[in-house]
Amino acid sequence: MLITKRKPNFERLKTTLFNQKADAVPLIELGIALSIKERVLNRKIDINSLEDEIEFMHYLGYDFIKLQPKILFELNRQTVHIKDSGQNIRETTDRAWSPEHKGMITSWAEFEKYPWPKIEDIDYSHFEQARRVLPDTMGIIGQYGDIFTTAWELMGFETFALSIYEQPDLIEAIFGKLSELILSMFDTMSEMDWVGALWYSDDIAYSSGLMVNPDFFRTYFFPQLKHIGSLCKKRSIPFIYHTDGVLWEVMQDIIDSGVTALHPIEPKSMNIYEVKEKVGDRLCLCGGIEVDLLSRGNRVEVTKLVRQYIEDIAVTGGYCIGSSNSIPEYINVDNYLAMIEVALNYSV
Amino acid sequence: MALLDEIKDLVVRGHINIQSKYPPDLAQKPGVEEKVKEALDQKLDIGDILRKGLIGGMEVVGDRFSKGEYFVPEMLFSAKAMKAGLELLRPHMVDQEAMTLGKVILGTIQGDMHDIGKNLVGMMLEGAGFEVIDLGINTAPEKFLEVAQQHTKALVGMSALLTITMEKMRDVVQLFKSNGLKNKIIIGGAPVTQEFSDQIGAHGYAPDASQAVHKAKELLGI
Repeated sequence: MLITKRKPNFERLKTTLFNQKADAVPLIELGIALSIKERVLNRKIDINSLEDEIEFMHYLGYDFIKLQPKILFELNRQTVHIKDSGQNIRETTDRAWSPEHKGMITSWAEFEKYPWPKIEDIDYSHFEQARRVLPDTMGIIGQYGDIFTTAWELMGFETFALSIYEQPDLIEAIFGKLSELILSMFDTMSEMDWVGALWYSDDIAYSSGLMVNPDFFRTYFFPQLKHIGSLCKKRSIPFIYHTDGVLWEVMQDIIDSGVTALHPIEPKSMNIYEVKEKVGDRLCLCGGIEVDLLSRGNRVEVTKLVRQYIEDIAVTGGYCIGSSNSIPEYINVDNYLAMIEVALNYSV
Repeated sequence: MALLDEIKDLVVRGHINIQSKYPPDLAQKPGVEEKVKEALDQKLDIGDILRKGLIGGMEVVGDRFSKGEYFVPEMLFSAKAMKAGLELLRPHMVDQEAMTLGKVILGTIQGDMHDIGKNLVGMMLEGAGFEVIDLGINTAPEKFLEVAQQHTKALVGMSALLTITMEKMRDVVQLFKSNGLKNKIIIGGAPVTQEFSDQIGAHGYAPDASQAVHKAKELLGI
């Protein structure tokens, strides 16, 4: 199925994430649906199996595996079953949705009642295991995120939006609690010398603009991002930040936080050529291959676009190929493999 | 400042009533509710209060949102302030039908539980003077059809968050065609584009809540 002789090389990815040019263009992805992995490997995969994850990533030519500390936030998500709509989208699935109006915490009483996870309950045992079983040439990226997203999911977006002005003390308390927990994960991951990069993911923007006022992010979000940036700087490891949306208004804040690579550059939100021109000297760009194209397009279109990005964006280094968000279960596997094949076999 | 301008300004600022803490500099000061009551006491024209005060305020809010000067929280406060004023006006609106720009049937498409965007569109449409029939989330194509058959002149608005769910919009457009319905259909949501709208034969696409209002007016010839 897949034709490549390229061996994983974490140094290649690291060099690129530091915005330099490596021997080839690396692949990157924040998330790949289990059913896609099963189709690619043509067998059942255990979602908890580190060996399965390594095999999949190695097989497709990724230079890394991504690990998250294990912790459970109760979020009261609703599940809906999505049926097949045809039009090249063949998958059916269950999807979980966060409450958008009234979440689990809307008052101080609910804040006190909420079963906050404890720092000492965070499980890192798989990081130790990965250290032992990972092939030498592959690396580990430590990833977590969602201080902002978890805050609004806990409150429900509407309650959260109104509480920014009506209950600022509650907002501060929730961000304080989440920051303490989540930053502790990055503190711990940065102390593991076998973790070769850190990745923070948290959507702060829509395709029409930031979700809330930039001043809010400067108070409650960027100091946390900066903390992770300083951890990476201390270890001299790359720092990837994932967020959807239009980011021009806070691009300088992102750079000033020590982020070395930005993911996933959604075409609908920001033109990758414009991003490359404006901040390509300071940020490595990751992603950009439209999920919609991977879902509803065809192999010829995908091949053409990936070649174009390799020629135009990767030619000076600082570009990792990947989707403009993640690889969901409804993507066309053939298109996904076309993206990978071009990335692994085409160079300029 | 004239009373109608005050109402408009308070909608723009999102100050609902004297109890509202938002915006901080207007806390404990009269809001839209108090000023609309004052306007009613002064027997000002209901249409003027609605159009020059409430709707006028929401037009400014929409522009500011489109320009990136306002964000979702600010828009929510303004929409709540507008709605509070509208509820006070409603009992005095003798011919409600004549005072609305038209009806819009809104819904998030089947399989999709996301409705922040759809609700913002609904608020902005109400703010512009439309009557909104909100079908909620996870709305089946047959439901859109059923309600549109009862309101044949209404505009139909659909929202989707995912590539997989937006394909259901195509089903709705086809269902309307096969049943001979002429309702104009407008679509929006994160993965939706003008190109997709053209592909499926929808009548319009809007990238945000404010532009949805402009598109709705355009499609209904207002």
